[in-house]
Amino acid sequence: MSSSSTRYTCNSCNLAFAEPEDQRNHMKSDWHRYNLKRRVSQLPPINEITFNSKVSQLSISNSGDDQDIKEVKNNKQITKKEQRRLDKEALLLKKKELLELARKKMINSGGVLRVKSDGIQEEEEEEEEKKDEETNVVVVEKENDDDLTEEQLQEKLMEIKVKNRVEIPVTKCMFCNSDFKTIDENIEHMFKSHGLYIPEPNYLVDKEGLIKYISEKLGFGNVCLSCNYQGKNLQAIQQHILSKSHCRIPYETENEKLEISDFYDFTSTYSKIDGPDDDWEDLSGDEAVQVEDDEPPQEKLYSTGFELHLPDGTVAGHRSLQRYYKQNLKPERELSEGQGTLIAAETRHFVNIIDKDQITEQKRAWGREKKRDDINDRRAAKFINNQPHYRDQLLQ
Amino acid sequence: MPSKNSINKPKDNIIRQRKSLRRSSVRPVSKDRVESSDKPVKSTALAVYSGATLRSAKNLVQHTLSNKRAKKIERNQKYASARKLNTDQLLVDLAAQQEGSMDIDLEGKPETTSKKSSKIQEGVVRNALWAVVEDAAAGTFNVTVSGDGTTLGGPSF
Amino acid sequence: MELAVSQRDTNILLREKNVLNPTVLDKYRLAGQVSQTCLTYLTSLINDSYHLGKHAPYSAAELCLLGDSYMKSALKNVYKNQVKEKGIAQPVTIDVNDVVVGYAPELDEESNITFKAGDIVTINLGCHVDGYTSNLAHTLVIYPPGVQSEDGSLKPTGPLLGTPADAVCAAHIASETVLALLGASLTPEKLPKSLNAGNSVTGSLIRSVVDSIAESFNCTVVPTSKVRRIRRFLAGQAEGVVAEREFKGVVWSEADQELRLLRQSSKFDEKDNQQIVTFDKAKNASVSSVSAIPSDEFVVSPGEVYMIDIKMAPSQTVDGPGLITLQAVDNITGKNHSNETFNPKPSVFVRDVAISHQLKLKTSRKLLTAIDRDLSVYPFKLSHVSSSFPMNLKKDISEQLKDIHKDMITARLGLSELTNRHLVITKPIQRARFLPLPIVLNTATSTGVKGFDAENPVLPGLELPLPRLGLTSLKLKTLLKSSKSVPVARELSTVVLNNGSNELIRLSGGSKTAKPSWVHSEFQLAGQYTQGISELIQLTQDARFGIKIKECQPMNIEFSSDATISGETEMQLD
Repeated sequence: MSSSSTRYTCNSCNLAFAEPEDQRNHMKSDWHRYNLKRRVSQLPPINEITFNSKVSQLSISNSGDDQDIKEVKNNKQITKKEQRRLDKEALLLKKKELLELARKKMINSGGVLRVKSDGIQEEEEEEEEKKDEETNVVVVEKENDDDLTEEQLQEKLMEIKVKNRVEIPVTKCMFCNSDFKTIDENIEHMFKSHGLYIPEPNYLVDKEGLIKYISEKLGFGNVCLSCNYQGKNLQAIQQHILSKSHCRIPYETENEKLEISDFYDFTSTYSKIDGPDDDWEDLSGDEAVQVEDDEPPQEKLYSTGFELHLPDGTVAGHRSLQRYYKQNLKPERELSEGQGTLIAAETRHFVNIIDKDQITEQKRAWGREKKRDDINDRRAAKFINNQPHYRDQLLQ
Repeated sequence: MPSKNSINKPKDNIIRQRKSLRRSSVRPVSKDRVESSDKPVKSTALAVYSGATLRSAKNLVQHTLSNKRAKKIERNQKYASARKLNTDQLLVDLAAQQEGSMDIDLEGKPETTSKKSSKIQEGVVRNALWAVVEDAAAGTFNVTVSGDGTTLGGPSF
Repeated sequence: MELAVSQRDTNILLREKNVLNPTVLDKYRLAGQVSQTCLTYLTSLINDSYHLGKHAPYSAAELCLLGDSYMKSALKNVYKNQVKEKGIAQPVTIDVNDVVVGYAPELDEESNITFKAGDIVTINLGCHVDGYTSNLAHTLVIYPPGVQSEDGSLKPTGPLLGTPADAVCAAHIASETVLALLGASLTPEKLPKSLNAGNSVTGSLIRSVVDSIAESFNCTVVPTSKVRRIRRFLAGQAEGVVAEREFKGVVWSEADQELRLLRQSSKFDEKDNQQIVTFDKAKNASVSSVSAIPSDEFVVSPGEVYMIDIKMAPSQTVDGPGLITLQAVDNITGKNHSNETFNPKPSVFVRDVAISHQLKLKTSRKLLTAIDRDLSVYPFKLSHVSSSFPMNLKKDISEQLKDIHKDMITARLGLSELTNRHLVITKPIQRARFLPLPIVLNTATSTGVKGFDAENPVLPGLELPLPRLGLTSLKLKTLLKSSKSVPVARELSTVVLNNGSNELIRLSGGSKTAKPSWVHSEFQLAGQYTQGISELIQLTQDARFGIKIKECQPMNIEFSSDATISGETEMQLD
């Protein structure tokens, strides 16, 4: 590492070259590239020997099939980011399976498992180190897990789940853990501070059950209500929900509605088939409505090209004919017999009688005027662009 | 003043012509001094129309008169005669117009027919009515009372 | 936008509905009865007030209102569910002396008049049931207070003398003669041979007969006199407004007087000037059908209903020959710097059904719907629109009058817009004027013959009053400032030529209701038709072998002549 000549150097590798050729060749090498990367990561450069040893080490310890790309990187098989991502995915999968299992078990057992409070410590084992042992350990652990059978895996996940489970009482807010005296206060608090609106409050029957179900989703399943984010524990999911403002009970699609339909009672709405629907407009209305299969069974609901005939007789018109429905034409004048007789006997001319001479005279006058205008135009065309004081900039 | 750049400058020649004309003693005669009708008409068509040319079978002449020209001559003669403002002729012409087809000679004096124009009718009517007025003034229309008269109704309300 | 009626409907309305069925005849008879009764009522009112002195003199407005109320209330209770349109076909108009048509003042009219002794008063009215009209006009004389006669009743001091008497005589005799002629047309074999009529009664025959009567009484037939065929809903109420197709009738106008004068002239040779005698009526008419233009070449056929409207005015001899024309009078003062004392406001209006327009004022829209719904196509007065119109004489009159007055004030506002948009035409009040011939002859004829007087409604072919002289109506109008007034006598009656029983049903007029007043004229019937006329009159009086005429009798109704309108009307005059 002594610089003999100041001409040809490589600053990232702390090298000096006598010949430019050497420099160029060095620049092309992998070692130099690796040193560049180190420089970017603010690490001191390594010499060639160290580099070569690293390379050889990597090729030995490499057992995976898809490590070809990673061989290029120096000792970095999987980046930290990638590693974290992989871990997360694995955990998510595990947790999902566990949740399913737990559900089944719950349904079967009907009891509630009590687990000790959160094992955050385990989760925070994520370190910022670039130690391969960690990753290797994790990789080994993964491999260990894979050896187990499906069921055993699920059981294990379930156990983790059950261990980590938090029971949130109905009088406690599930997002910020604040306590209240009654469930209604809790609901009100959740609505006011977090914006959790319970859909169809008129038809809600089992308020407590709904709250419990939601809180289990968070406490047991650690899954977000609106998106498919899987948290590691309750705190994580709470943080996610609060930060992303996902405190809502989705009620858009059928499946979402069905999910919480157990707590509702919609029987009172079923008898509404008989009466006239307020939603439908008569021929002054707009859209053609599609006949849906979910509607209560109709007998005479059919649509022609531009009209929808409802069973109670009203006809809804299509919006493409809107302009005609909006028209207010003068109603046809009904004549009495006397008036009709007079009009039948009428022989007056009501049209303007065309005076041919007058028309020809008028046409001649127009012709003359046009000719005058033409002449004027032709005359003016000669000097209409006249600019007596025009100063052409190019003719300085 | 037309400048050097102007397009609307009068051309050289025109100015020269004007100046030369001014200098010269030749003055164009105005049209209204010369009576066009006094000059002999240089129109073969018109000559053919009026039959003024000598038509002999021996000499082959190439004077032509198209229908269009003939009609034009006819019309112009009408206008010319109208211009001379003969009131009698006006009346007669009016009547002739209402007739329909009538031959117009070069001299321009058509015959009067038995039917009369509306103006003439009105004149007749007026004359007749004036006659009535005069007769009444003279006392020829006085109604004489003859007989006992007529009584209608009776002495009751 | 022009309205049109389908061919089939036209056929039904104009032909089928005019066939004389028993139902149609019943309706005509009812209309005739009501009109006769109304005339009797009004004549009794006039008699009581002016002649017998039982009551304070009724003014024209009161008579009009009473007459209209009677007609409307009489027709209210008949044919209630079968007939939609019935009522007044012509509001009562009281035309005094030289006024010819149209004077029907409302109660708040400034120019409301009462009559004087020596006035000849024409009462004109008409009513209709389902369009079947019966019109009536009768001229009666106002006498000075009567003298006691032998049997204790009052009688007039003497007959009316002078030129008005000539007019009354002429009108009466002419209308009776035409009626007899029409009756004879049903049985043409009974037509007197001296009339040279042949086998049919034509329009030209009627014209010549009437002209001869007029001449023998030294009278002139006033322009707008006519003997015309009327139909359902087409009873001449909209004559200048609607150009009625298949117009069948004799119409007198100034052109006839012009022709008569020409024939009198020594300088006029008719054979040579045949085209002057006959002028082309269709030249300036803006109608699509020539049948709308009246001509004399028609034959009176059975199964038709005719309206005989004869107006006579005495010809002046003092000022020499002249023309008798009509002048419109209205309440616009200050015309021609003449000291005009009679300024009546035209109060009779007719709806022109062919015009439609989007109106701005709410009152005018209301008024139009009221007119279209309640008042049929016949002329109306504003007081008819009021809800308390057919006045109940038994109840409180002043209250009803106040209501009518109030309704009228709001209606007037709407009416102005209707008139401006030509939805409603004002019927002008016209009076007869005598124009000396020299004045007429001394006017220059304008070159354009398009100077029609829009105010004066005329029949389609008769726009030019003096076609041979070439004078337009506007020109004539300007000449009227140097004209004199002439009294006019009028007789109008409606007759039905019933072909079923070959008899003539006289719906209005007649000896019982339209009895001629006591007049004496120094003239008597003369001319070529004297014999024929006397024969005709004899035939009508012959019950067995003559012309069968049936008259519609007035109904016997208790008329209380102490209708105390006059006392209360003082309040209403604003």
